[in-house]
Amino acid sequence: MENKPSEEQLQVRLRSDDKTALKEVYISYRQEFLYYAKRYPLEEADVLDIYQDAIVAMHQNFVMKQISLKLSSIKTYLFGIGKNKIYKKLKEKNKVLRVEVEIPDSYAKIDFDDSLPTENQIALAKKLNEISDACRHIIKLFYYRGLTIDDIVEITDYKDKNTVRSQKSRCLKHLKSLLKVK
Amino acid sequence: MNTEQHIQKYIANQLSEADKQEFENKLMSDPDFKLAYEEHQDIVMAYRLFEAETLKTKFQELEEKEYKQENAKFSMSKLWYVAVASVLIIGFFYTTNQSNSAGDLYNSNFSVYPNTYLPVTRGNNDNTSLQAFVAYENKDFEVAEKAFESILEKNENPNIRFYYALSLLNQDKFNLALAQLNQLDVDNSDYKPEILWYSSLIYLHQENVENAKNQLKKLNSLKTKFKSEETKQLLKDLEKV
Repeated sequence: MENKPSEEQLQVRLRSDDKTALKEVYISYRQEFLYYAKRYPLEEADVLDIYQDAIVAMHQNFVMKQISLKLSSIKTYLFGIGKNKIYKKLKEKNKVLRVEVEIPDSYAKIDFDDSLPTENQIALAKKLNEISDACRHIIKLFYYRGLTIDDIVEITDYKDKNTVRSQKSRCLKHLKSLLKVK
Repeated sequence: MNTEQHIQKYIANQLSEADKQEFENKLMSDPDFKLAYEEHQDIVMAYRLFEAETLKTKFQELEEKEYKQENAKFSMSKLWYVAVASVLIIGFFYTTNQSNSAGDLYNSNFSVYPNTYLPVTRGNNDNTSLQAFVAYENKDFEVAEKAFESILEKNENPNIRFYYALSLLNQDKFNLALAQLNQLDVDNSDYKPEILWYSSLIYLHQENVENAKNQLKKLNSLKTKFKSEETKQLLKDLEKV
């Protein structure tokens, strides 16, 4: 599939964690996805939940893996993830009988190796609410977006690499210490 | 490359196959390296969970703000319906065969069906269909009617015919709308529940309670979520009529 320039620009924005771009994608394909999912025996609330999870998974893959879609469009990719989640949900609800044979359409199911988070990871995620915005931001840039210390100096107001390093290690220490406090 | 950068690249899938293999070998042979990786991965996963939850909350807020208006209108119409229905039921005790009861039920139950067929977004290049659906979404049903009609002249498309029927219905052209809905092969339509619902409302408007009930019973037996509560309520009330 040929990628239009606007589609490529949108991918660049998604890779740089641009939430406005994500909202654009969400709005653009929401109705079409709800319509697409009408062929499956699922309630609309479930479909909406699946759509939101698919949007999140797609976004996190753009941000964390810096993916670049060459052969498919954002829509095909998103619907592929959504389709996979639909089948998982149907399986959960034991509604596999009607969909034992996959309903043919133009979307290939896209699966990620989503290993379940550990208890420690869940506990840390909760504690992220308790640290300062500045700390959360630096943790996000380094760990979630995988930016280097140099990148972080460039896009933030920290004056040099050492300041970034020490701020990062202070924040990390604080976050871990919160786990010990019940 | 220091250990942290090495781990970052591995997580972001930016290592060559050979480097990836070397990384994984080191994970098995070097306990300190493994520990550093696991600690790093814990923070990555924790942030990922935190971010996912934040995003979902934002989407739910967006849903409330942008898309729940339709439902709010529906709740209002439900209240209105209960009020109208109560008045009607009381009315039946005092008057005999007042003629507009079923028609009022139409008014209290009718709402514009959204465009779920062709989302009006950039990237759609079928101009005629797009114009038709833009007009439909803008509630310019006269323009939508003509645009859908011209599409149907060239190609038969049951989904387009459904929206053609609804464009007619939204202009109170009840008989024409019903004729269009009746042309559709309801059992094989993507819009089966919708066809049954809107045709039952037209029958109600025409005071044809029996046909309205038949359509509603069929809709009820589909066990679909679409208007399921309204269908049950309407059937219940029509039993009393």
